[in-house]
Amino acid sequence: MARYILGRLAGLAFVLLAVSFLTFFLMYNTPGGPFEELNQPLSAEAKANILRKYGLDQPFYVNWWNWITKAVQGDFGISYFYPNTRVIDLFSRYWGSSLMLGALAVAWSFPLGVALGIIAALKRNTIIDQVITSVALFTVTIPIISLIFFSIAIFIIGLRWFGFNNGQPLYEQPPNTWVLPVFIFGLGTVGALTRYTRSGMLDVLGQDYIRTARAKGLRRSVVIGKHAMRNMLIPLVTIFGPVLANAVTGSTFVEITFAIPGVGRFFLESIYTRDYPIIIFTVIIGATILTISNLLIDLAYTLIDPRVRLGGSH
Amino acid sequence: MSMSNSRKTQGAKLNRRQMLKIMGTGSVVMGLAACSQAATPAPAPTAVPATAVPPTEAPKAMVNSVGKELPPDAAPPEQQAYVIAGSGAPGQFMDISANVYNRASLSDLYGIPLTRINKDFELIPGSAKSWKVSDDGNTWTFALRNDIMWSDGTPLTADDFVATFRYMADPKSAYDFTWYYSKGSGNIKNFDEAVGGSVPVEELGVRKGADDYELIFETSEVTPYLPRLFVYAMPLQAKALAAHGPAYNSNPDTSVSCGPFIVKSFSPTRVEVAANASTADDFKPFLERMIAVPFPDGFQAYQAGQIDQTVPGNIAQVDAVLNDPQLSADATPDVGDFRTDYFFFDVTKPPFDNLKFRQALAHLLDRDSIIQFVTKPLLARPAYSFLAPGFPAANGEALKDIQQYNVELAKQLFAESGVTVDKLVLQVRADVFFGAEIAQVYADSIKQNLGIEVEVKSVPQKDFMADLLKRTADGKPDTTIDFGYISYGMDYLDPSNMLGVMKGSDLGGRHTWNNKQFQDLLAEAGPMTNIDERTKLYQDAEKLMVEECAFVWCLHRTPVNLWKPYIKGVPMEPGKINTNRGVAWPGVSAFNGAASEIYIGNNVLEYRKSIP
Repeated sequence: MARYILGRLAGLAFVLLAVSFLTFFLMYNTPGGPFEELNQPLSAEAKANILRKYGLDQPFYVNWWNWITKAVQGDFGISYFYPNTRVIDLFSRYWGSSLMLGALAVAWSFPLGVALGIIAALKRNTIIDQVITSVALFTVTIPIISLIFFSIAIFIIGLRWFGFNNGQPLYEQPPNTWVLPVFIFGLGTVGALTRYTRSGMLDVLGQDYIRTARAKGLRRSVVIGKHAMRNMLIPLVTIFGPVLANAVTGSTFVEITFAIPGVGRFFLESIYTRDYPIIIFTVIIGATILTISNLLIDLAYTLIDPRVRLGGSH
Repeated sequence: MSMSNSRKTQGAKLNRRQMLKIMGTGSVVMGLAACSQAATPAPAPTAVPATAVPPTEAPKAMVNSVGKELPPDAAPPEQQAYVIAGSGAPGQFMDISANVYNRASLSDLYGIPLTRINKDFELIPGSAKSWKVSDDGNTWTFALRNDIMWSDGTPLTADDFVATFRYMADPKSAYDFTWYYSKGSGNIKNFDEAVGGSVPVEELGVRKGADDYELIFETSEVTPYLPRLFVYAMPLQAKALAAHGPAYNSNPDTSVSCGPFIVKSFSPTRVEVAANASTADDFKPFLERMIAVPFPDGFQAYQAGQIDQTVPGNIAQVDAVLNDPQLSADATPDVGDFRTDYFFFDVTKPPFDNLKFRQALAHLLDRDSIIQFVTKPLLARPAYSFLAPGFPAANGEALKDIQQYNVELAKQLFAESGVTVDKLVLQVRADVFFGAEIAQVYADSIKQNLGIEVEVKSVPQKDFMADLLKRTADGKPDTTIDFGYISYGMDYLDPSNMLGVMKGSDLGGRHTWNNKQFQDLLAEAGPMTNIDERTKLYQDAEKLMVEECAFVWCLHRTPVNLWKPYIKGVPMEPGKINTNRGVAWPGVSAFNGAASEIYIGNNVLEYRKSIP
């Protein structure tokens, strides 16, 4: 197992190296740049001064290598647009809000989605099942942006029950600035999980070992909680990985529309402004989180199902 | 639409019946009071012990934390907070002299520029109380006020301005607005040479005069509009610049100010500044604080009652303003920065090198319909020339016929041009006001009347400018945009600024229309001191530009600002050019004094629940 984990971590290093190279290549070869004049043309000398100051007069691979050599020492550079602040400090400032938004959204949506899925499966083809599946279908099909639009129009502008974030980290804000975005961010997850859980549970409930457990006279709660749930966990864990990665890297739509200073918004702004140090850092963090969450999911499989062996052993 | 706003409005206003009731009751009470006074003889004067009745005191005027007396209709100091949505664009610099395009919200409040403009766009003194020019027109002497202090207790002196200009010209600074003081604009002696590294910054044409409060500028050619250009001449403090670099004002620990405000807290997503007690009395603000939060949609934040001023950003928001009585009452169109939106051609390439073809296209732009149906009349006026009404040397009315919408004439000119072309590509800078919609209307008109297919492409701002200003390795213009739509607004209130943009790519301008006669007229007008003759030359130059049809003028913007009814002060009163509310470009800043003059009225609590 330890050998397997070390192998995967070594693979992670290779992945990050490749991702960083590709990102540098794309950033530097996309038309335009971070310091294109906006109105009046600058003289050639003035423009050369700017490019020299930020190292943009060098080819992309030189800048990539410079970045790699500093990054391994923990120096991820300074933003072009916040010259007094290190990229890592900016990211830390934004990440807290995204983490809180994501954690709260997962905290309410994941258990609720699983519970509703189980109830729908157990009450299959009843009115309860139909209501739950309809609501779940609604939440996964309606575009999140339209939900945001209507909720802002009704609850923030119309009724003024809630407000936009005032630019400070989410954890320093009163609940009326984050309850609505947390609810909307989790809504899609509830729907997807409900549908996933219902389908998985129905599949498991039809298995022979469930019928056997019932035939043995076990209580329903034991049959569901011990035998059915455990076998349903593998597909749930599979989707929990991307849900978690999405939660901790921030939701661009939700953060922008509710003025939340989070990573999603931060990343999008950096793309608009071609703030290369921020773009590369955010991409690397995203790739790391996704790769590690996949590794954790693989490890979780071995705990849930003893038949699963990692690293090629059977 | 803000339902609560409507309710508030209803709550605040009295209906006709209530008004009659109050007036009736008031009349009865006043009548009774008058009768009783008339019926009662005046009491004989009696000696009253001095201690029995305290002397009547006039209501005590409120004074804010920097010792400035608030107007009688002002809210108490704790409510004197002005909240805006901020620009939303990232930026850390707080001073225009440190960096222009990466400034944060609430920048330019930490110094007093050499000159300023008032709400009628008239030039008024700033940190310079007076100025004079030498007989040859090349040496300017500015006399600085000696009562403006930095917040660390040191006075603002000529040394600060010298350090500021040296910083801007220093190649290591990589200042992004060097064109402003270069040849053709500010003409500061040796500025271009210093930027290019061939001359040390110590040889710049900016130096201290006879004492700490005399500042001397030398120009490479006569520049009569230099004081107008110096509305942007905002000082950095020499000491802070040397100790902490140009972004010292984005850190409250290193921030130092001689302007109306000082930085209290700074983060990329929220900036808060507080009134500065150290500046001269006439620059001290009524406001206690200003707060900027980069709400992605300022209009929504305004409707939610979280900010005090905004600008509608799209057609749906404009419709909301037009259809909502409260928002309509808040709305004020003004001239902004005298911005003009226009189409342009690369006249070096066919078919746009054909004058008759360009003239044909110019006569196909139906400006009135565009303004009626796309932008709405509230937001724009039709443009038949570059200089907007109110701008010095503006002459739009006289030039109106040259590019008038005339389909028959356009068809005739097209036939005479001999051009055969099936398809054109019209590139629109994505940030231009209703750019894609307006370009599509124009494209349809060309297709319908000349049978030429026009593909409209919206291009992000940075990419568009890179393509427009592209040059070959040896520095020759090499634009890849043949037909485009873009805008320009003034940087300083002089025709040399607006018309200088059109001087041609050979001379460092934006576009490939390099007309020698136009360039000569600009060169001749620039140094002239006789205003009438100068204006005439600029008008001749503009007429030539309109006739040549390298540009098709579309509209002059009249941006609409929404101001909450509790924002008060001199800038909110009508001006000569901004006839609704005078508050002039560039908004609430130290460039125009508005930051020192606006205040929060005592009706604020009717609208604002809390300060974000």
